[in-house]
Amino acid sequence: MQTSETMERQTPILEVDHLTVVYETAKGDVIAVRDVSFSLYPNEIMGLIGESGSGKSTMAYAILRMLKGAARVVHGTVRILGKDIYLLSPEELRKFRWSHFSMVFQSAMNALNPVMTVEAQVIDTLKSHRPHLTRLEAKERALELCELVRIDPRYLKSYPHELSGGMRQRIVIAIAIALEPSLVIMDEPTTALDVVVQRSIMDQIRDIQMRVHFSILFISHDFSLVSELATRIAIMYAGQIVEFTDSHSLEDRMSLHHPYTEGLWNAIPKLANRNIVIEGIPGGPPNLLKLPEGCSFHPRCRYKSEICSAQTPELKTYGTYEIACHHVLDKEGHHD
Amino acid sequence: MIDENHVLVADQVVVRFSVASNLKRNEIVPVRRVSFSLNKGEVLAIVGESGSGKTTIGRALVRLLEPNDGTIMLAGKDITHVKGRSLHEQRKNIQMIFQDPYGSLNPVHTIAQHLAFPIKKFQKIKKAALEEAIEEALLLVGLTPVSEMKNKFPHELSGGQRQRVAIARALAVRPKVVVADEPISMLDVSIRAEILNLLKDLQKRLGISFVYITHDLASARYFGDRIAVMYGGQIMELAPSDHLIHQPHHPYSKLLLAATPGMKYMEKLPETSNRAPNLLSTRKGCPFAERCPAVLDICSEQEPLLRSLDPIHHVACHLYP
Repeated sequence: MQTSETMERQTPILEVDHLTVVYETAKGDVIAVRDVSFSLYPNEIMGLIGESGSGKSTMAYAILRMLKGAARVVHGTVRILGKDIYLLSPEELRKFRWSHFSMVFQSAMNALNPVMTVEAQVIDTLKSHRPHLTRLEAKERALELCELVRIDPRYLKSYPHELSGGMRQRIVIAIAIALEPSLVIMDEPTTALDVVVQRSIMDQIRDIQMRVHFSILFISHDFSLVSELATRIAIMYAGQIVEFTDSHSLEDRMSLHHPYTEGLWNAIPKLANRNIVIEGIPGGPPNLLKLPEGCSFHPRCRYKSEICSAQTPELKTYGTYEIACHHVLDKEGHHD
Repeated sequence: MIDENHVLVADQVVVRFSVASNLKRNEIVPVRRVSFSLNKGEVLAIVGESGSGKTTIGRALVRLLEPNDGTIMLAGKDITHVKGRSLHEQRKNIQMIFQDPYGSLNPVHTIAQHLAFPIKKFQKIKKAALEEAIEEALLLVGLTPVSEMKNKFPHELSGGQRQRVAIARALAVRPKVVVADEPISMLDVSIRAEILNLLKDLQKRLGISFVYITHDLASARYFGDRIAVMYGGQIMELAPSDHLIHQPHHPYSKLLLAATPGMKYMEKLPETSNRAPNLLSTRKGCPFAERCPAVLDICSEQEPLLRSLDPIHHVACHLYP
């Protein structure tokens, strides 16, 4: 793992700059992603945490330039390996996508084509981006990938329905890393899986990442899961990133956090200690059509004051963290 | 077996389903000789992965399914095969909360209508008294302002509020036992805690016994007094929550604990197949045998029975004969 200092000197793999994404609806524009900026460095694993409706998946689709229907980027840029992907022609984009960045989708269990064998799908991916590959070379690469995700090569001849959910997920991961991309975006890749299978997939993601080196943006709603994998974590609320933090800081009661992060952490039952009382965050997620003035979280926040409804807080740096809250420093007295 | 303190007793309960695959008729056994007893005012958490039979046993307990074998005693009465009117009578004593708060409410009924049905049926009250009972039920689960909530339709409520309606509906008949099948798994993290705390609070205030079905060990520990770990249709281990988390005995409980995110130690999991359990009626031996890192010869031959290690800790494993 690299420290943030050495990463500063490297060129980022992914640069998201003031990205804003809007869904046009009959009732007006819904701002799903609001002015999000961050960079992801080579070999870094960053976690992105948010609840449903926080805009985390929309952001992933925007980074991949895969927004469809009513959604569109209204502001900001996305650069991958220094290239603004919204300036690429469709053919350039097709070539660039998957060879340099790929995605493991939330619905990965169904991401495979049901009428093609697994091998055909792996080879298809390889051949469409590297047309000079011979069939034999593609088959060899497919075997290598199988070994990498620890799947018995005999399953290459299987159709997706013949595989378990965990095996399908491994195949999807194999296809995502088939062309050795620099960036893989994983959107809740283990959500539909059982705990034990989830754990083995997580072990494998970590293992593969250490062997073949790529950056991961790992999107999830599960704090514990993300903090096991990622070094840096971004927390998203109502379309905005409200905090960047180190994954190990979550359990440290002394470290500074956004009230929302604190609330989320306090809402999770802890396996290690039954006596920690959990509490929910009062209220519900905001209506994205009519966001509260000022800080979007203030109606649910226990530290709120007048300034919170008047002024939107900016991300400010506190040591290695960044937090967008007017009361980060003076709420310490409220800690128990 | 008859104990005054036991409000619900499952004794060797078996549920079989017939399934057709590859033109052959097969029989699967999602619940295989499951036995446990639930004390008055106790929360028993049933933890398992998909295919463990946790939902099926839950449905059998509230008699949405009829067990093929074994007995279920509720408040001293055998309800295993009751039908018609006497089955309906029992619904007064045992109620269920389902996983999906979007699917379990009728979209064209108001919240008041949802609650009026069970109250009218079991408390036989009308008009003013009924209105009062409905308002009381809504207050109980914190759905306020009551007068506004009453006339809302499910689509006007958030997921957490809908689950509160489902809880209010289950509790409206003042049951002795509530079976809650993954009541928080479809809700957002920040909402889950509130619902779990509400259940905990109601359980304490009303002294209701709960069977809490979940795949999440952490929430099982938080809410459950005891935890039963199920795998392949059978209870593998049954112990007080703290015992089970700190001293798991069954290899499957250990695997499940090691796999749960948030555990401090980060060892790799044993290399075992991730195959789903074999539920076919033809299966022999322990359901976990083919994934078990400590498997013995006897495991694929003979089914281990749930035995007591001590008066409160039970394990079904040949390692603990």
